[in-house]
Amino acid sequence: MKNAGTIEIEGLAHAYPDGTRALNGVDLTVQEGERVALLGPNGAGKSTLLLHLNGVIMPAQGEVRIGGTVIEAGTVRSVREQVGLVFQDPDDQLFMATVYDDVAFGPLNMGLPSAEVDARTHAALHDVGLAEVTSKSGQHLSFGQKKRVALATILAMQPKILVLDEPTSNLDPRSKREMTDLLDSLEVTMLVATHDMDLAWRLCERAVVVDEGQIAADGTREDILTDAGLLDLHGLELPHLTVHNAAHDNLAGTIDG
Amino acid sequence: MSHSPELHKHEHVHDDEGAHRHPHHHSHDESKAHQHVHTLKFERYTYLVSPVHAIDPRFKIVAALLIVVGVVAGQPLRPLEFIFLVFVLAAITLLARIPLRWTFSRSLAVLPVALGIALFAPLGHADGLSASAISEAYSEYSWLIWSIVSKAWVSAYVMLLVSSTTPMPKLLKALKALKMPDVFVTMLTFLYRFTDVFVGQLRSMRHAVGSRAPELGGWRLIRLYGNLAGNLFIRAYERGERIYAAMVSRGYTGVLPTAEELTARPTDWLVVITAALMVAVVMLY
Repeated sequence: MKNAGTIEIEGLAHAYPDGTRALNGVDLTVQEGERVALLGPNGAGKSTLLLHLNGVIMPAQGEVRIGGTVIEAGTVRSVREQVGLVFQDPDDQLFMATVYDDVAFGPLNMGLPSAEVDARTHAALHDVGLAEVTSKSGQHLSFGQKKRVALATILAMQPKILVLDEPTSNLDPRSKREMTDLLDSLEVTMLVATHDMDLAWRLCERAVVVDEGQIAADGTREDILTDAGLLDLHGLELPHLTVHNAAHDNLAGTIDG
Repeated sequence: MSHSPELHKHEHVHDDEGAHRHPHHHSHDESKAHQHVHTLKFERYTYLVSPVHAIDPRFKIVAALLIVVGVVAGQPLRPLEFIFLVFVLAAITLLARIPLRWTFSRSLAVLPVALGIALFAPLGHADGLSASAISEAYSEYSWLIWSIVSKAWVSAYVMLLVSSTTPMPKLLKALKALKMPDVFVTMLTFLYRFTDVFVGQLRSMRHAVGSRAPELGGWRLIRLYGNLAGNLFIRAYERGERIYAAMVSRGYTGVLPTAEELTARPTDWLVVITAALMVAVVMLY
C-alpha cells in the first residue's frame, strides 16, 4: 500500500442519536510518520473523531482514507490492521482471562501462525516493560500497568498508525513520564487526543485544536502550544514545559547577558 | 534489545497455604523476576501444587461430569454408598491440600436451593390436594427428600473440587477445548474478568450513599439500592458497547481465537477411567 501510514479525513460529519452534532465538517490530513496532537475541550468531538479512524463508527457524511484506501465495509478489516486505536479506559480493552491472552488477541485475529503470535506478544510486553505480568489477569493490575498493557495489545499488531485517546489521563507523574517516553520511542504515524499539554509538547511536532465538532486551529507545536490566547479560547492552557523553558531561557539570558 | 521470554512455573512455599506454583515470565528487571498473582478470595487455592491440581482440567471436568451424572441418574443413595462417596471426596480434598472446612462450608451453598426443591417433591405424588392425600404422599415419598438433597450436595462438592483446583483461565481454556459454545465461554470469561470492576463500582456508590445519607434505613434504603442496581446495569451495558468496539478494533469476527494448547498425560486418562469405574460401582452395587 503506497504511503501506508497516512490519514485523510474529508468533510466528516456525525450526529449523536439525540441529534447533537458531534462533528460538523472536519478536514484533516496526517502524513506518514507525523505526530499530531489532537487538542480540545471536553465534548469537542475528539473521541468521536478517533472512532472514525478504524471504522468503529462509519461516516454519516464525508470520507476517511487510510493509506489512500477509503474506509468502508469491505476494507474495514485491513484498515484495522493498519490503524491501532488505544482507548481511554484500559478496562475496556483488557477483556480476556490473562494479559497474555489479551495481547495475543490481536495477532491471533490477524491469522498469524502461533509461533509468530507468541513472539509478537512477548516482544510487545517487553517493550512496555511488563513481561512479568504476562500470566496475571486484568483485575490484578494497577491502573498504570493496565494502561501499558492496553498499549501492548495494540503494539502486538504492529500497526502503521497509532491513534491514542488520552494515553496519560489519571496516571501519576512517574507513570506519565514513563508512558510519554514509551510513546516517544515508537516510530509510527501518531494521532494523540489529549488534555496533557506537556505530552503534546514533548511528543508531537504538530497540533490540531478541535472545538464544537470543527477544527479551530492547525499548526506546528510552536505556533499552537505557545499561543496562550488561542488555547484559553478553547478551554486549554499552556504546557508547563514551555512556560518553564521560557522562564529558564529568560533567566539564562539575564545571567549571561 | 534481545528478548529472552521465558515462562517459568516455580514452586515456592508460603507460610500459610503451602507450596504454590505460579506461571510467570522474567522481565529484564531482575527485581520483578518472581512477581505472581495475589488472587481474589475465591481462587486462593487454585495455584497450589498437588496431584489434583496437576490433572489436565479437561479430564477433571469430564471426570466430574461422569460422577455427577452417575450419581444423579442412579438410585437414591443408600447409607453405605453415601459414606463411600463422602470418604472419596474428602480424600481428594486432602490430596489437593485444600482445607476440608473451606470446601465443606462452600458446598453448603447448594442446600437452600436443593431443600427448596426437595421439600416440595413429594407433593407431586399426592392424589389430589386434600390434607390426607398430602400427608400420605409425604410419608410414602419422604426418601425423595433425602435423595434430592444428598445428590445435590455430592454434585456441588464435586464441581467445587474442580473449580478450586484449577486456575480460572485454564478452566476456561478447558471448557473451550471441550467444545463449549464460544458464547458461553466468552460470558464466563467476562464474568471472571469484570466482576471485580463492578464490585469496585458498587463499593464506591455505597461510600457515596454513606457519605450523603448515613442515617438512611429501611424501605428507603432498599429503594435506593434499586437505583444503584439500575445504575450499575446501565454502566455495564455501556461498557459492553465499548468492549465490543475494542474487540472489533483488534479484528474480532465473532470467534474467540485460541492461543496455547492443553496437553494431556497418560495419568489424566486414568483419572477419568477411575471416576467412571467409581460411578459404575455406586450405580450397580
